[in-house]
Amino acid sequence: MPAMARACQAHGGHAPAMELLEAPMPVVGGSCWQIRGELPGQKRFWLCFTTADINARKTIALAESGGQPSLLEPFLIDEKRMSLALLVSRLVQRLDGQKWLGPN
Amino acid sequence: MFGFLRQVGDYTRDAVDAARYLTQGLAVTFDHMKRRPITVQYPYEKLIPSERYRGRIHFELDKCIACEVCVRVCPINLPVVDWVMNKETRKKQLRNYSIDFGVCIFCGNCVEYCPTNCLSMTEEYELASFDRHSLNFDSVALGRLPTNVTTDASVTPLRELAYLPRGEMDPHGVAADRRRAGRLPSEVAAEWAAPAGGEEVRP
Repeated sequence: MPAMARACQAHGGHAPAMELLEAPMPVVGGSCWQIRGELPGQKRFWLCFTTADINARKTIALAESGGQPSLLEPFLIDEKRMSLALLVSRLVQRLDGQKWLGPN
Repeated sequence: MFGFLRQVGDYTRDAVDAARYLTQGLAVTFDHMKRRPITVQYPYEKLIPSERYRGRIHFELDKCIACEVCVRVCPINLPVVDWVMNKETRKKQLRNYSIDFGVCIFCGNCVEYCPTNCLSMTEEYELASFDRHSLNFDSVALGRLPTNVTTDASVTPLRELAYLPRGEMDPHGVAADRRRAGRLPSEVAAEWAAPAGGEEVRP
């Protein structure tokens, strides 16, 4: 998570407030490990791991302006070997692609 | 001595063939006599696009590896792929991806050649706008779930002629559970997968 915060700041944006916790997965429910993050403007994201492992299948959900997420998307399902650097870079890419880290 | 008889025979055969072809052609024409134009009350009723319809392109940002194959196979090099090299992961990091649907011809080459299947065709076809520049979709707009005729509660979906039961001409009032004429592609595929005993499998 510190790496994630650094990467976001390096991208010129605010570091998201993040926490790692075991909680119900958005949309579908059921307990799982997840990283819950919030960016200014009540933009929230959930990165969920189906098991407690970085190589586990991951899903991501996004919600703006404090709303509840409505769509659970698979995240990096094609990557065979997952590393922290790759996970961080792809998460930053995703948030940036969503135009959450800065303007176009 | 009777050589001229062959010429007479040829002429007669040609005349009969010509009459047959004319009749065949006009049979198709006269078949339309019993068809009436069907009016679809557009914003409230919509025709269901056929399978493999090529509408607006959907893009999944997570799967994209920024290989730019979509740009190379595009007839006009339309997709804009903006990436930087990430030194930590030694992989390309995508910064932006956009397709201008005001210019796109919906040929589907990018979808066909995408190595990670991050591009796909949807059946969304309503791309009208007041400003042509608003048709330039970025990665957020490309990633939105497509609108669907069959799941929109305010729209009555109607089947096209080829998807109607045999003998039906008007999609209005045809029950949704009545199957269409002919065999379904899945049935044809199942027949090919499990051929009758000793029969050779067709490709």
